[in-house]
Amino acid sequence: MERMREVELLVIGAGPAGLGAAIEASRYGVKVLLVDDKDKPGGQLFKQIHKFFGSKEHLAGTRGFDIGLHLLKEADSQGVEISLQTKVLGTMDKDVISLLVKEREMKLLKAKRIVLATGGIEKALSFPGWNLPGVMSAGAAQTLINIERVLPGERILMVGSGNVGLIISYQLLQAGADVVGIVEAGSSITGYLVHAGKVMRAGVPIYTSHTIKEARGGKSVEEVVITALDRRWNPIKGIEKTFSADTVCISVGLNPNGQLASLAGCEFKFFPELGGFLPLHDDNMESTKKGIYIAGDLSGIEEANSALDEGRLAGISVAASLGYIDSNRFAKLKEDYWDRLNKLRGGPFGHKRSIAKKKILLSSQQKEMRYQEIDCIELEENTKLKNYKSIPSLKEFQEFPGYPSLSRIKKGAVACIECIQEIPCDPCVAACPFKAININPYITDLPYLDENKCKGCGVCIASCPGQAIFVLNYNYSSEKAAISFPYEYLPYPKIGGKAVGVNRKGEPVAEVKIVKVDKRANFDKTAVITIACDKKYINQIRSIERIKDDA
Amino acid sequence: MKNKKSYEVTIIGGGVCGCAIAYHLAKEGVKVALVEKGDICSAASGANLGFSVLSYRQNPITLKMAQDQLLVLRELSQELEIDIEYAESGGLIPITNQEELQVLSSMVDRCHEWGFKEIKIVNPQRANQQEPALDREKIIAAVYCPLEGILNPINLTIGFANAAKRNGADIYANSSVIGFEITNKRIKEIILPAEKIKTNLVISAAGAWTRELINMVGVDLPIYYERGEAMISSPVSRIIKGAVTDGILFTEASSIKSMIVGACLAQSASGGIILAQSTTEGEDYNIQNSPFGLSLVARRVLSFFPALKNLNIIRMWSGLVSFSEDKQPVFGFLDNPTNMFVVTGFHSTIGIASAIGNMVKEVYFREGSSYDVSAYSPLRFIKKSSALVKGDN
Amino acid sequence: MPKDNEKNSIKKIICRCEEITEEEIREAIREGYTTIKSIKRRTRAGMGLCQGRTCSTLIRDIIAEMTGDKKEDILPDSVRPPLYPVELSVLGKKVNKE
Repeated sequence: MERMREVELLVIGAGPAGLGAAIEASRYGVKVLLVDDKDKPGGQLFKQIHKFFGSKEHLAGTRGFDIGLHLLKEADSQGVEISLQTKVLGTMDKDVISLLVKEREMKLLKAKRIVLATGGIEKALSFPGWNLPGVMSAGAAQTLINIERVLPGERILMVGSGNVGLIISYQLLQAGADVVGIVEAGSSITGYLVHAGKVMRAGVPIYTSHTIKEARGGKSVEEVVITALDRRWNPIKGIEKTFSADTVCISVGLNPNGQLASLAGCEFKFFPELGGFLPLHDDNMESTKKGIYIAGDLSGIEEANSALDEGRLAGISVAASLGYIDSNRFAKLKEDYWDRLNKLRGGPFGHKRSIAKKKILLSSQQKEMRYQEIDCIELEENTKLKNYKSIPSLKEFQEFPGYPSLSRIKKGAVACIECIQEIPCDPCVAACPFKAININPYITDLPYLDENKCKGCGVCIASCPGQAIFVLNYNYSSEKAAISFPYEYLPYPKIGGKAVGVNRKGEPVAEVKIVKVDKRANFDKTAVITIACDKKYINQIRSIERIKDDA
Repeated sequence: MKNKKSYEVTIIGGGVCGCAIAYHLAKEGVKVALVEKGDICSAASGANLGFSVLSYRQNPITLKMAQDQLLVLRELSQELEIDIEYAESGGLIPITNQEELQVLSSMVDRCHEWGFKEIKIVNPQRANQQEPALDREKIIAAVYCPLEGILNPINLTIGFANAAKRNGADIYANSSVIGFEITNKRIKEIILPAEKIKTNLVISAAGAWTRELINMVGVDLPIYYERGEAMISSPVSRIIKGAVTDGILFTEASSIKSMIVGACLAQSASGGIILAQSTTEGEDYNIQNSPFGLSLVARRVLSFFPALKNLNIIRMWSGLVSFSEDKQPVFGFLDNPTNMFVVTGFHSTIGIASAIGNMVKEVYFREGSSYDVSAYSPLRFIKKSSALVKGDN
Repeated sequence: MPKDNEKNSIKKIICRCEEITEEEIREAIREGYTTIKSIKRRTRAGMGLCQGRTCSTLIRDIIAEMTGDKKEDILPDSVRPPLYPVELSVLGKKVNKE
């Protein structure tokens, strides 16, 4: 009888976690088969056209799809066997794995070790009319615009102000759609303020304490009704708004995609902070089923950088378990990865996840949790995240170390960093040729601008993935100031032409003149536009109204 | 302290048998508890195709039960206040070779002997009329029975359970039986995880778990189980009319190594086509799917019904079906404890569940039994084994 | 097939694949079916093409609201192969033991 193929390591899912696992395991000599159901590896990375946060090791400042290509090259060069359009149908009797390849062929195989990196799936939100054509998950809209190059609609309501909702709203604007608004049931914006800043500058209103009441239409969405919510999340009668819209994008969070892990027999536990039911893992990323490891959003909804690092950790754990890495070396590598993961989860945005991840490790070891609970309350007190209903006021920005003093502004060109949340990100530090920006000791610390070292050269503007850096040139001329800002919409304005300068909320402030459109190649498609305006607007104007493409 | 609940009858097992028995007893005013370790209809009853079978009932008694049930099935949706989706759309057994023809002709003759005339061997053309999607080139004949059909086994089981509740029965779902309190050869109480319940009579309708359950009262019955696999497609427009059972299943040829494979199919009311079956020996209550089983079923189905090649299969499952050592039903009291009644191993139980429920009611009220089920007593196994063992058991 | 007039009325659908309304699910819970799996059996919610990937968290929310059970105790449905739909003709091909 023909013997079934047995691979050393089967990695299921070629997103950042799967690629990370495949790269590290193969680096130490493991023979890896990496499968993915799509026709391109990279998972969510290929849909991400924005620049990523993080550190140098995470290729911060690089656009998502470029990170994907980079990882793919690495995997390729290490001899990882990659099988695309390969769907894992399930684990059957006697640990046999059933695969469907290119919709045409079934294959069966066994694996000594498995890394499950199956990612997350979007949560649904039901409301009357949600089954009308035009209602879709935000991720579906993102696939349509970034992969298929098709607009899902022209007038879009986004439900959810987490990073996914904010980023995809931004990308929908870039694709040429109108986003009529973003509704957020909570009382504050849940995503990063810098992402919210981008869309608000573009004139998209964010309605906190609001939710979608209904989508109406004949054969598809024609109109949406949103309603205000009280403190108990109940609709407030009479406070409604109706918009004409043809699309509703739902972005209310992700669930770990645990189907295969569940079928394979992994033990699950409920962690709402990480997306819901998820498979437990130990500090080697091994699940409760021996030989099956997990990484990425499957082990808890986070983001690409921790997915990549968890994947790498799972990869080296597999290699160590197969005898390719000795225990001392493995211990050191493992410590390094946990260090990186803890840093990524540092800061207020990560603390809930950090606590949940600690609980997962304890659950898998079946240890007492009480000691950790005390630890966690302390952590919570120290890193309280301030809630914002909208973009902070100028006064608030001025209290932070990235904003230059008024006296320095009056001296001439200087950078202005409007980044006031502790998120794990530092490309601006390396970008500055004069070492005028500091983020230390932790990657989540706020950027500190040394206004004496800063020459106002503006190289940092395009490096910031949050598009939160500007250059203010008070002394552009005797009458006018100049403000430089990042701009990623087409068409670009024409030099010498006029435009409408807008403030942080996208409200028109004054007419401005386009002085420069800097499209140099190493800005990687983030144009830096410089406008001239009256000096009194130096602290207000942060962008221009988008130019409608008449073509 | 909370008073222990007390029931005249406690049924263990929430499959179609247990639920039908609960309904028939509760309907007559009996105070009934139904105990099920998982959800109602979560084991074999939820896994089967829903065939109402007449032609291949193994013996004249169950055949008569099934015949009589036809009248009941036609009205059962109304009686249970749930749509059991019963369709008397006919049953077909495609025959592909002489061996099958021989075996099945004998079976048809036996049915005639037992008074069931509405079954016959038909030619491929006639078979094609019953199932237009059947490739008649592939068959030499078929067994056809117009009175057979299909129903929704889940709705049927839930229908019985709901109706039992409406008639005052208490259902303890997600409650495993941990043990029994037995005094003087009588079960006095049943021990569940959260509580104990008092009862006068225990009915075991536990399917594949019968042997394990009966072991708890110190008795071992030769009741085994096999794992039958099936799958379902996404809904399609009506293409399969009735119940189709592969003729190969009546011969040894259906055996491939340790697996029995045949093409059985039916299209549910909601449009999905259920395809089965690959059967293997049951072990450790394993309900995973085998790597090959349903692939072999797929191949066999397509050889008869090439038009189904583009069906999208959306779910595979398996069910653990109990059978006794002599393949005959088990229906009767144990002798120790004296108040335990065992019901299992009927095969194709779905079509005769109501009859089984009614028979239990007859036993309970000491009415004459509608059918001679004396041969089904579980004591036949105990007497046999005590003949082999010296001394007291 | 589910009752047509109920489908046409403006009732909120929870299971999009099988078009099961919120009211049908609440009715099942009132009948005593309080797990995701038993609600699936009773109503068909979760039996469609997506096998509950869309409606299962919504159903959990409704169960939690009506029974007071904690979400972490409302277990997901069991997972069965195939995790993606597979065509019968492909399933029936001679299997390549890779």
